[in-house]
Formats: sequence, structure tokens, C-alpha cells
Amino acid sequence: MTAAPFDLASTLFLLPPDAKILPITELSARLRAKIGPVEDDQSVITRPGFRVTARLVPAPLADLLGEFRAPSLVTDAVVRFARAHGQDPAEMLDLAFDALAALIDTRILVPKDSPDAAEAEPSLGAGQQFASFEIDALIRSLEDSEVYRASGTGGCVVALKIARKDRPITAAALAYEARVLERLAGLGSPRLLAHGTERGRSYLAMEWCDGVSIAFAAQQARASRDRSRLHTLVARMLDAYARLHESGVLHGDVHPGNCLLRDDGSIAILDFGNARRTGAAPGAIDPARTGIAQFYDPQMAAALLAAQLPPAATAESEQYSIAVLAYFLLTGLHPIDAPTVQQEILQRTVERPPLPFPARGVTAWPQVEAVLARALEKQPDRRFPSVSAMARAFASAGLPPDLKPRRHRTARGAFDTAVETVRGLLAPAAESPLEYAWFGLRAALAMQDAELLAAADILAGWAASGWASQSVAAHVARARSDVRAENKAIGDFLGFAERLPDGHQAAAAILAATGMLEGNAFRSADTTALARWAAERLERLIQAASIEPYSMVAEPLLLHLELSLGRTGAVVLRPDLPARLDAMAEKRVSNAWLWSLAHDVFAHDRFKDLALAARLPSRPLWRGFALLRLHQLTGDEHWVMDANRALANAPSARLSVQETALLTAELRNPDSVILPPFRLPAGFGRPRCSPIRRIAIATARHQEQRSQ
Amino acid sequence: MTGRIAQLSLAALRMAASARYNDPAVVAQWLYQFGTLPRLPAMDRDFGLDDDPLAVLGMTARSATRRLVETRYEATTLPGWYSFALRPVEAPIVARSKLYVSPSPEALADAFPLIAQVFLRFEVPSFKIGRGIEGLLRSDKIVAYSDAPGRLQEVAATLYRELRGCPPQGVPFTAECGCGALLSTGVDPPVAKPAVSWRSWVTNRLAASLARHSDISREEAVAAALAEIRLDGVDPEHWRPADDPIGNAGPQ
Repeated sequence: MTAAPFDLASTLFLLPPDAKILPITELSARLRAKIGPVEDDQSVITRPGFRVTARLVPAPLADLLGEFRAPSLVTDAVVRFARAHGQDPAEMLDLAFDALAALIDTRILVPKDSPDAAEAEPSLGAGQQFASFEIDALIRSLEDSEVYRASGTGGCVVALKIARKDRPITAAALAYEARVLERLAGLGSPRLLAHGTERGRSYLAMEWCDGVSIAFAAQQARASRDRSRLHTLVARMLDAYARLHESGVLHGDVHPGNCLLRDDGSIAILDFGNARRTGAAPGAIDPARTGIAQFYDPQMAAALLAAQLPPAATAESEQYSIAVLAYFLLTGLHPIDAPTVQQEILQRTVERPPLPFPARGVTAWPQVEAVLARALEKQPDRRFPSVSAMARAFASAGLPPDLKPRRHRTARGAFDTAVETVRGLLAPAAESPLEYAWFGLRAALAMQDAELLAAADILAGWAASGWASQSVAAHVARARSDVRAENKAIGDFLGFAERLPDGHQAAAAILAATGMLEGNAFRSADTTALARWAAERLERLIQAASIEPYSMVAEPLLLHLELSLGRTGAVVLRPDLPARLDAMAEKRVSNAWLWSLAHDVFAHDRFKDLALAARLPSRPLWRGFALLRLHQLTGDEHWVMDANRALANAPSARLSVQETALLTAELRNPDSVILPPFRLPAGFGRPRCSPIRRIAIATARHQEQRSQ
Repeated sequence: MTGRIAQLSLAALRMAASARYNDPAVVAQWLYQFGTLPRLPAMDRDFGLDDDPLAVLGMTARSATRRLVETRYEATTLPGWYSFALRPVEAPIVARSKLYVSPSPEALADAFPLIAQVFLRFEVPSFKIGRGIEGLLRSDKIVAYSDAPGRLQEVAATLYRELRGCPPQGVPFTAECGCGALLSTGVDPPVAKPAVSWRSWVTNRLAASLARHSDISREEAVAAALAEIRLDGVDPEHWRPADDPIGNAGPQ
């Protein structure tokens, strides 16, 4: 990073009063899940209203920052802190210097007298006059500028962007932005109406655009399951950026907040404060280049990771950012699945390809995914030659074909019978309530059926008590948006799971727990204790596995559990995990679930190859689930067709009516298939255990109990 | 029994009679919640967290529908609901007649702007919208209030025309307006009564009936509950009050 342009020997630094330091353990389970898997001793630093990315810092550094609540020299703060903790000040300074310099670089620690030390408060009030405008309302207040809605002469409504006082860089940026807007003359952007300086503050006044962020418009289209509308919206966005590039301007700060869908349906691109001319010389750098980490192209990310100055923006780099925006609008997700930690986002932007939509739980859209994949290529020369070309490819990609597989008559009959059994709470459902509750839930989700869901709720209550039934009850409660019932089911689940001895049942319960933890960033249920239990029990199983006689759980299952828990954010993946996966690969372990999950987590093609090469289970139920898992892995529709064929061709002796019905329900929504939480799939069965080994395990257990 | 809502209500009652719940309060709550649609993982992502689903309704800050609603209505945020009262709000609104508007969740983005326009055109005194995803998955997600039932009938007739083709969800234990499950009505109990709404009043009574008849067959228990609610002045064919029964039935 850039060196701090301050004399550290004489500058008093301050942690501004509005900077918040929050221990990660004090965050809600939902926010923790959003941040991703991090150690418990970390804290988050945020500063509202400032263009400062929330940062994670270890607990000792968070404590040291407390020394800057009053202005202090860096050396004084470190010495005070070291003495208070009985540490050597010189050693402490050596340890903490880089971290403190980074915090100064990112304006979390600021010089006492700098404008950054004050809170970003609005400087003007409604009714106040500024230049020839009357202030109406504050729209956005940042540390360097403010945006107001205001009235101009004749009552025309304008967006008034004003630099804060004593911000020469912002003044220059505003002047540049005015030139860009003038050049664009309203082409996909607000029309410039005036610019100048008033009371020492630079400003520019632009045409006011009524509308909403394109993210909200996309959210509406997704919530309506209207891919046609979504396609039109993204196509318009791409056209708007394409026109911008054709006029020789790069926006420089692509993100949904800077792209507005106007009331008339047209797109307006906002905020040209970071705009640049196209045609930067190869290898040029741009120290002022900035943006939001999730939208950085790999070259920018690589430069920041290597502590180098950013490369200048190019049409190719902006194409990548625009593709990130398109992916986000189409799916509601960023293409690179990363915790919200800057370093991790940058690392994954450099290394990992985007996953296919079904691997993220989004319905496949192969033609559109292909366009995005090209625009998101790591190497700029492999992307489209221009955003215009990308826009054309996107427009011609069109809507996905309707590939709903035709259901076999037997399968349809089994499904309809099972649905009626659940709806009527008939005898078969009463005899196997757990299995029918699960089927009822999955069918309710697939068909958006309130009656089936209500019946599943009753059946889950009928199931015999145990961790498996509580797991199903938690899933049902979640589908019913019943947080209280979900919390109760999770608590009851833990009551049973905690009593399980280490071994296969405990492993199965951990897997069930991962299912309950999935998506916990999106809901209010308290999963903290569940995550802790699963992480601790897994650790115990891994430790036990390292002592040969105690090993009751096979390594592929342990790996699968760790990957599953890691994906939910419940555990930090152990550093030896890749090596353990390599060892399994060398042993030619054939398991479609394990390798598919490894691919989802690490996005390495070799894991995908291993998953595709895995021998599929012969039992029709697991074969069907495995084929649908491969669909989620690749996004290829032919796996769904194969699963449908497997279902149709299965001999009735090998696939029960209930299993047929369940698989049929899953085939209705193949992108969100999950395994029943009360069964381990084929390939994760009990490890074979010779009589001699069983005796060794029993003896070791006996000795352990006696020693306790 | 005819009509989608009547079918839903009977299905709810039959399931509740089979459920073997011991506590009438649990049965009442279960009946009250019947009709809530399943929350898909994709909905968490597409509708968003907390107050984000407002965007799906077109009610995000500075959106056209929000601007329109803000011209006449004062908004209040309540647990589980957003409430809107026509300005000027001089006293608490005690309207008891209510109109349920129940589009399926995927229809909300298109339907809600039209609904808001109709509420505004007829100056509906107050209305509320379910808050968060869970609020939009419940069947009674949009409720308009008025102390003039005739006015609500006009609103319903206009909405029926404006929302033609809109997929309905349907609110159990409410009276269809004669135009499918999308629109239905209820009459809230007077303020002094313990039940807070038409549906909670009905479901409490049905749950109490089922509890009294737990020792007979399901169909018999359902028939008994329907007969008893009829004696309370509710037409269980159409879930319509015969003559404002809530006000006459006395406290629970």
C-alpha cells in the first residue's frame, strides 16, 4: 500500500469518536455468518458515512486502538499499551507497526487536526440557500462530499453535489466530474446544469433523476420469478455502459448504487467522480483509482494484494466490474463467494472462477452464464473485445429453454399418492411421520403449497423424539418463518445430539446440523450454540480419527463434514484440509458428494473432475440424488434428465414408493436439492470394521472409561 | 362448500382436528397461521432481509409508489407490520371492517403499485402491509380498514378489475368478495373485546370447539366445530358474519 504521508514522529493520531470497534462475538449470528468464518478473537471496525471498508482486526490490535481514543503519537500509544500489558515496547512497536500503518492508510486512524477526525455530518439544512439553489433534503453525506436534493430557479429539481470544506482533492474531482458530465451531455447520465464554487466549496448541480437503484428493480424481477424482465433490465444496463465506453469514458466506480433505473425505464449512470478516459497506456498506474472490493477486476485485486499501486482502469477492467454487477443483478449474489473480509475478497477475485448458478442455489441459465463467464475471465484478453460486444452477446442469449423433464407415469402416481397421504394425514404418514414430514416439506417448497407445509408441521410433531426429527422440525419451522419454533427445534436437537457418543451417529448429526446452519445469514434464528456444538464435535471426531483405534468415522466423511461446516461459516477450515483432500484424491476415493463440495468451497477444477469421474451409487435413490448433485456442480441440464431417467427406469423392488415420491419432488426444483437430514448418502456409510479392530476399539474405550 | 377460501378453511380445520394438539391456544395459533406459504431459500436472497422486501413492493425510498403513498399517508412501523394512515391523522382509527388483499408473493411487485393507487383513489382511511419476508408470505399480507363497509366493497370491485389475472393466495376464515380468493373481508371485534381481529376471534372459537370434541372422530369433530361457530353467528360456508356476531357474542 501507499506509505502514510505523515511524520509519525510528530503527528498526533486519533481514532475518531464515530469509529466503532465491535468484538466479533458480540455480533448477531446473522452478521457473523455474513462476515464468514473468522476466529472468535477478532473485532470489526466500521465508520459510518466514510468510504472505509469494514475491517477485521485481531483482539490485541483492537485493544491497542483504544489508546487512540485520545490523540496520541503512535510511539506513545504503543509504549503505554506495552507497559500496561507487561510487554517490551520496542518489540511491540515492531509487531504492531505495519498494522497501524495500514489503519492510517485506510483512514481509520487519522491525524488529530485533519477533516477526517470529525464525524460526517450534513452541513446544510432544508430551506437553506446555497448558490442559486434552495436545499430540500439531504440524500447522502460522506466524509468528502454531500449530495442534496434542491430546487433551482424556476422550481426545477436538481441533485446538488457539494465538496466539504478544506477538501482540495474533492474540489478537483468535482471539477473533473463536471467536465465528464458536460462531455456526456445527458447520454445515459444526468445532465449537468451548473458548477462552480460557493463560500469556498466546490459544487455541481445535475438534473434530478427520479427512480430507484437498479438493484431494487432487479430484486423485484427476481422476486417475481420474471426472468424476461430481469433479462431486459440487465440488457439495458449493459447498453448504458456500452454507450458510455463508446463515448470514450470509463465510469471508474461500478456498483448498483451508481446505476439508476429511472421511472421511464431508462438507465442513468451516476457519480462520475472516479471517471477516466478510455485508452490508458499499457502498464499505466492510477494511484487514485478506487471502488468497492467486490467489483475490482483481478488485476486491480492482485496489485492491492501485492501492496502495489493500482493499474489504470481500462475498458477490459471495467467490463469485468460490469459483469460482476450483471451477475449480482441476475442472482442477488456476487460471483465470487467470499466472506466480507477485504483480503479474502481480493485473494478469491484473483484465484477463483465464478461458480455456475446452480452451485449457488440459483436456477441454471446456461446461455447467460456463458456470457458472464467470458466477461469474468481472469485474463483481460480473453474477455469480450468491448462492453458493446458483451451487450450484444447478452441480448442474444435470451431466456433459458423450459427443460422441465416429463415425469414418468409411475413416478407421477407415487408423487400424487404421497401428496394426498400428507395432506390427509393418512395412515402411512402416521406410521412413518419423519419420512413423510420431510417429503411434505420438500413437496411444499417445490410446489409453493401452504397446505402441504402445514401438514409437514403436524407430521414433524408426530415423529419420535431424537436429533433427526428435531432437525426436520427445524427445517419445517424455517419454511414456516416460525423463528420461535425453529429455535426450539434447534435447542431440542442439541439436547439429543450432545448425548451422542463419538462415532457415526454423531457424524450424521453434524451433517444434519450443517443443513440447519445453511443460509443462517438470512434469518433470525439463533444458531450460535448449534454452530459451536458442530464445530467442537467435529474437532473431537478429527482428533479421535488421528488415534487409530478410536477411528469410527471415515476420513471422506470427516472431510465432507468440515467442508460443509466451513461453507456455513461455522468453522475456519483447518490449514491441513487441502493436503487431506489431496491424500484422498491420491487414494482415488470415489465420492460425488465429497468432491462436488470441495469444488464449491475451493473452486478448483480438479475437484470437479474428481466429482464427475466418481462412481455413482447403484441404489436408485442415491443415484438420483447424486445425479442432481452433479447438476448443481456443473449447471448442466443433462444431469437432471439422467436423474429423471434413473427414476423412471428404477425397478420397484429397489426404489420404494416413498423414495420415488421424494425424488420426484426434488426433480421439480433440481437447483435446490438437499439430502434428507436423517440419512447419510451412499459412500458415507459406516467404515468397514474387522472383528479384530472392533475388539481394539472396545478395549480402548473400556480403558478410557476406567481411567476417567 | 364452495370457493377457494372455504376449501382452505375446511382443510385447515380437518388437519387441526387430526393434529393431536392438547392446548387449544396452540390449535388456535396453528389455524391462524394456516395458509402461510413456504419460505424458499431463494426468497431469502431475492426478497432480502429485514425491511429489504419493501423494494419488492416498489416502496423503497424515492420509488414512484413510495412517493405516491407519501403524498397522502402517514407511515408507522410496527412489529410485523407497516401501517399507513390517511393524513391528517387526528385520532386513532377504529374502523372494524377490513378488506384482505392476498396476491401470491411473486405477484406483489406488479400488484402492489396498483393496490396503492386504488387505496389512494378511494381514500382508504388506513391499511397495513406485512413486514419482512414472513409478512409477505402470510395470507393476510395486505389489509385495508374502513368504518364504511360499502366503501370497501367499492375498493374490492375496483381492485378486482385492476388485478385481473393476479394469482391469489387466499386468507382462510374470511369471506370471499365474490371474485375469487384474492379479495375477502372480515369484521374486527370491538376494541374492548379480548380477541384482536376477526380471524383470531374465529380461530379461537374453532380451537375451543375442537378441544371439546377431541374424543370423537375427525369428521365428527369438524362437523361439531362448524355447527358451534354457526351458533355464534358465523356462516361457515362463506366465513361471513351473519349479523356482526363479534360485538354480540360477549367476551371469550
